Amino acid sequence: MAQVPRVALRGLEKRFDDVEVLRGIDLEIAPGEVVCVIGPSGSGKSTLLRCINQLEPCSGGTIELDGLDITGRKIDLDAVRTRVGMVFQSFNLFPHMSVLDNVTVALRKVKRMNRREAERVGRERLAEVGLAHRADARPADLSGGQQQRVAIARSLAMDPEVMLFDEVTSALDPELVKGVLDVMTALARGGMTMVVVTHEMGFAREVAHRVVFMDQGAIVEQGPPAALFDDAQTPRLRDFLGQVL
Amino acid sequence: MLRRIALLPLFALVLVGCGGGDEAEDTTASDTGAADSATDVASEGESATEEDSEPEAETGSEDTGAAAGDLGLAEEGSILVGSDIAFAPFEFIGDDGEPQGFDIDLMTEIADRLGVEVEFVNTSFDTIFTQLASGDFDAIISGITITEEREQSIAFSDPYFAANQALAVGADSEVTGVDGLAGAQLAVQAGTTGLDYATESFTDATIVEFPTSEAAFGALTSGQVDAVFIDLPVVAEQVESSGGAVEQAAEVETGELYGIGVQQDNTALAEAISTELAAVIADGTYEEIYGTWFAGEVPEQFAGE
Amino acid sequence: MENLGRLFFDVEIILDTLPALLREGLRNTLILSVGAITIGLVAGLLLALVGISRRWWVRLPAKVYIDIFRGLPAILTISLVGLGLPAAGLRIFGRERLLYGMLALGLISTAYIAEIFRAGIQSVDRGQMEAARSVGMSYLLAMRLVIVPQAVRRVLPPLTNEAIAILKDSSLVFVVGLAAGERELTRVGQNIGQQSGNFSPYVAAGLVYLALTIPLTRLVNRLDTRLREGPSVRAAQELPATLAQEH
Repeated sequence: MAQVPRVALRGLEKRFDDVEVLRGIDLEIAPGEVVCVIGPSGSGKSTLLRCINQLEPCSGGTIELDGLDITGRKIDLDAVRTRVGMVFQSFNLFPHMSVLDNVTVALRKVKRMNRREAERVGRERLAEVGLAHRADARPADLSGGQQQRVAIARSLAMDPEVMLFDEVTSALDPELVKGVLDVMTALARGGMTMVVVTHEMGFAREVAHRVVFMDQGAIVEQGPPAALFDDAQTPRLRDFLGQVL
Repeated sequence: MLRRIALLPLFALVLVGCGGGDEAEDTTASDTGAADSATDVASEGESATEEDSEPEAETGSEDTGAAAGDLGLAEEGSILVGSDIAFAPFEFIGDDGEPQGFDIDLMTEIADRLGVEVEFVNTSFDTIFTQLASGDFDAIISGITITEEREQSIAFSDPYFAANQALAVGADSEVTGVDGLAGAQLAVQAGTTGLDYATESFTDATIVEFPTSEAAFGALTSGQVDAVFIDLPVVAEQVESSGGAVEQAAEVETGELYGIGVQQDNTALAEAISTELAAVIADGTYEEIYGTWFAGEVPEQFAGE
Repeated sequence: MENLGRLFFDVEIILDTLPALLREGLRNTLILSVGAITIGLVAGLLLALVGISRRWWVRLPAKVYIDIFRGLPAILTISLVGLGLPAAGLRIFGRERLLYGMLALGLISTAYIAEIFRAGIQSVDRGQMEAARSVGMSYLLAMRLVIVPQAVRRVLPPLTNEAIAILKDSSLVFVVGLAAGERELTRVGQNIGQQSGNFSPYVAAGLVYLALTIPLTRLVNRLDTRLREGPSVRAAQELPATLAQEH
């Protein structure tokens, strides 16, 4: 890789008590690259994602964001997290705030933007996910798909350098999934660096630059989508694809 | 059983009624012996009934016989006496956990002569009157001043003590008498005549009401109030036991008399108590009990014959 | 039966007692209770945050405090603070006896409210904290903006119960000694009652207490229902329309 990778995982290890969840992961993600991570449950996909923004601290190895080692001791993680956006499977919108407030609260309280400027940015992001007209609604008023799109807008509002998606459509009713995937596709086409843990193979094939297959805490196989889906090299990946496709 | 109990007071009355001399003094000695421990009251009296003597007609036996058998007690053979046992030297809890004091001794003596066991129940002075009225006790003795107001809801025996009020102050106090109370904070005990008197007379002072006399004196020694206004014997006791921390600044003569309270309609018990009280006074027992708890001469109205 | 009526519900005596009850008793009861609850809300929230720390040596003082002040009877705490402190020379409020009482009640309510808040905070989904941290909020900022507001809404019923408990415990403050004008409701009722040997003043005081506690309970029940059911009622009505928009 010629330029500095947007995200670099070097020898990443993670242990929960005695259980090794990540066994030495090496991964570099270029700016603007869309990487989909697939694999069976328990393979460590989510943990890997959560290590990138240090929601989970690492047991070993390092993580670099644009060359900065964020696993160092004196790192201001709050500041780092303003550069890394995360969208969760259960949306995690703030129920006591309006949609617009959900999107703007961090702008106002973390980035110290004034309310008018923050709301301008907020409404732009909401428009991008197709929900500008619901700015004053409460999360509980929205469908799951709408809530997830608001969650995406909330992360986007902070203008992150990379977006992490943790099985963001797994909790949605099937008819709502497409709406969210469309937003993510648009985001990818716009050049956002994305790491997407997903079961949506269709999306991975269409949108990802690279697909990474994980099993039991290690990267087993990775490559362009066509190569992985049509010409799986390893038996484990072939088994996995056989079950999900 | 009933007959024996009925005979007890007659027997005791006979002994006492026979006037001075050796027999009475023997009884007195044994009775004050019984007075020392409140719980052992009945044993003295009961051992006396081993002699199954006939009642003698000397001391109006029919009247006292009727009174003895019908004292309106909640439980036959036992008198339940309520008291706020935190008012030394009238009543307080001794080191052994048992009630002690002038009232305790006197009441025990009277109960003994009535031929009943006495049991003391510790209660708050605040509620002692309402509790008596609702039947929680047969009688109350608690340094209670006889007042017209109280007589509207309870009945009193004849007076058994004459008390004045006194003003107590701290050792370095500027207050030297009741005239110096303007702007001072004056502690009193809830429900006492001292409170009433202070409220009426010391209008320049701030009256602070405490549930117990001990709390009131605690406030005095910790500097939270400037003076305490309460019954003279209590002040005297505090002065003595405080080792100089508490001083008496003034004595106020209020002509107060203490009485033993009973339920308003229980005149039988009131009269019986008064009768025994008179006997206790007459034979000098009162003077002895007084001497145990107070310095100085017993007031003339309570001196023996 | 008629006697019971006269003993407890003598209307004339009740009406006679009310002015003193309202003018003096109610005023002091409210001063004590509102003061104590305010102390409890502020200190209790702080204590709750201390109590959920990951470091055991930070949690320990909070736990000890809560164990002590929840374990002691209120009258003991009030006596220790109101009589004991001055006796020890610690006259922190001078002679303002009500303030000692308020402090004692405040110490007690802090312990109970800390537990209430802790339970409320811990009942908020972990994902909320994760989402808040993920947009760059610090732990404390996330607590302030996201977690605590949600926690508070959840614990309004137990908080009301605690407010009522404090209101009732304020009746024990008389042990520290009260001057005329400082007496709270129960004391006023007792004083008047013991003068007359009638219980109607007690009943009158009780009526004032009920006039405070019953509406308080009703109000919070309504608030609680509205906070919880309000939004979802709207959601149920609008959902079909939004679904149509999805496609």
